Amino acid sequence: MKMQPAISTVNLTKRFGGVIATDGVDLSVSSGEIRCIIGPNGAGKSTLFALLCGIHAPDGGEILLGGRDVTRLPAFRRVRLGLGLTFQTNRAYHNLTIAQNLEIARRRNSARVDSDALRRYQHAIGLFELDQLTDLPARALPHHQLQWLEIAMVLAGGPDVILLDEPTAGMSPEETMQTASVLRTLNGMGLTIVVVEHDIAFVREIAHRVTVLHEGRIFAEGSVAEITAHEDVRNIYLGRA
Amino acid sequence: MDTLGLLASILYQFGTNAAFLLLAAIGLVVILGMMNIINLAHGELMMMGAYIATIVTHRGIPFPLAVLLAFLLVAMFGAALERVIIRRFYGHELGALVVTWGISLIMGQGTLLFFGPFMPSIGIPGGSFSLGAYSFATYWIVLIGVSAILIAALWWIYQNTRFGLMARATMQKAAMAEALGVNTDRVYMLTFALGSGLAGACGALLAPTVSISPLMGQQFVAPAFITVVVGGAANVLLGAIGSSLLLSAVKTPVGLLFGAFIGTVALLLTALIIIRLMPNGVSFYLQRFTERRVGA
Repeated sequence: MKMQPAISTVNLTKRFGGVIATDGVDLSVSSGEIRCIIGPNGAGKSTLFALLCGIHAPDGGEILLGGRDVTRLPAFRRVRLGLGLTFQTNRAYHNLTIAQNLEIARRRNSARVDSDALRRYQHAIGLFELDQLTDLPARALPHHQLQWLEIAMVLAGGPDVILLDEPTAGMSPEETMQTASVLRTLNGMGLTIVVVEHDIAFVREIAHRVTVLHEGRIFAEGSVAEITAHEDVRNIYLGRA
Repeated sequence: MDTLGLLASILYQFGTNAAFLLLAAIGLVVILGMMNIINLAHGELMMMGAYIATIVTHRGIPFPLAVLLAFLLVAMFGAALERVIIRRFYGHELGALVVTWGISLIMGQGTLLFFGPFMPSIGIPGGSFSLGAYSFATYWIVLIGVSAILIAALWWIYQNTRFGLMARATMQKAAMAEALGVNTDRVYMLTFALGSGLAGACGALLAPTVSISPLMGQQFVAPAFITVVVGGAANVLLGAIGSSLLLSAVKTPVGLLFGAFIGTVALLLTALIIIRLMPNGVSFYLQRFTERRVGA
């Protein structure tokens, strides 16, 4: 029996005025996969991310979460169905304590958090070194740990799939590698991860498969080795395609 | 004995002035302080609560029940208002200001059309007592306690309940709250309803102390806005408590020495000076002070 993709899109399209930002995208991410979505500036990564999250409504096509059509559902409904979202700009609550930040998703979604998700969450706050700091206001954390806090906040809601938009933006190479290691561990515990990223070093560290977007379309798809060896992909990054 | 009476009288005046500011402001603390909506219909929501309490008390319903009814009905009205009109103006502060002004005009003039220019007030419950040459209304002493209880209850709701946490998350960063599974539309509606209900309940509580008329709400608007703005946004509840006590500490002695009118002028001048010297409001400094204490 074929496994249902964890998250997929069918002919997903979004226009802004005369510009087609997402042009008939068919994406399919298997359960348990780490998928990285890359592409040069203006390729449509952010729009695709916003469509998957429910920030923008598509003009055409479908978004399926575990086989269920969520195209018309608002973000919070998708989250309650098992999707986790983090944003490029950190949105942890600086005035709340770390415990309160983590509490929001946990109290909101406590009914749907199963034992696997709870194990992942508890493991993550340990690996992110947040478990000893719970009474500290979030604003006291350094940048990389704020990014980690945001991921932990999302995991507190017990998602099966998480979408991360440039989760290592602004981190040092060491912090980036540490983040990659935690994400690989969480993936090993059953979490499906979709990352929008342009840091190729980070992509090499974590991706099972890579989707390359160009001018709103899927330009290429394959393993990291296949994609990095792809002549046309190198050309679009250098602006030659 | 008279020194004791004088002291009690000063304390009583101080308490009633602070309680009045706090009762006028509590609904606005939620709607302006937390939701950042400049709600010019705040006075009319209080007026609506006062009318509900007055009408049902005249029909024999006990006054505490009338206050509860005012809370519930004005909260329901607020929820409907949010769904139909206010939600279209989030993030458009000037738009919200104009639309709530329009709502206030419709409510004021609508009340005038339906109920005429005046309505017989309800008597002040509880009578009065004397201490030496000074007389004190029991009801105002109750109101001082009730205003403290209301602000404490609001603090408790926002600190300790699931709704409070979801509401704080939504008001600070709605997109993130949504990403954590919070139905932010619903939180906005409930928060506006809570602010409206509190305005209605406070209008009902103040109803026995003022004349009941369609434009009565206007007398609460200035004190409410002054209390919330002087309090500042760093911590709206702490700010409202701080500013009502501070403004009352100015108004009370000046009022006792030079009369109520000069007392009000002093209050307005103080508000101007505080806003000029502390543009972030009293709560910013109170919060910094308490954090330093904790840090030390």
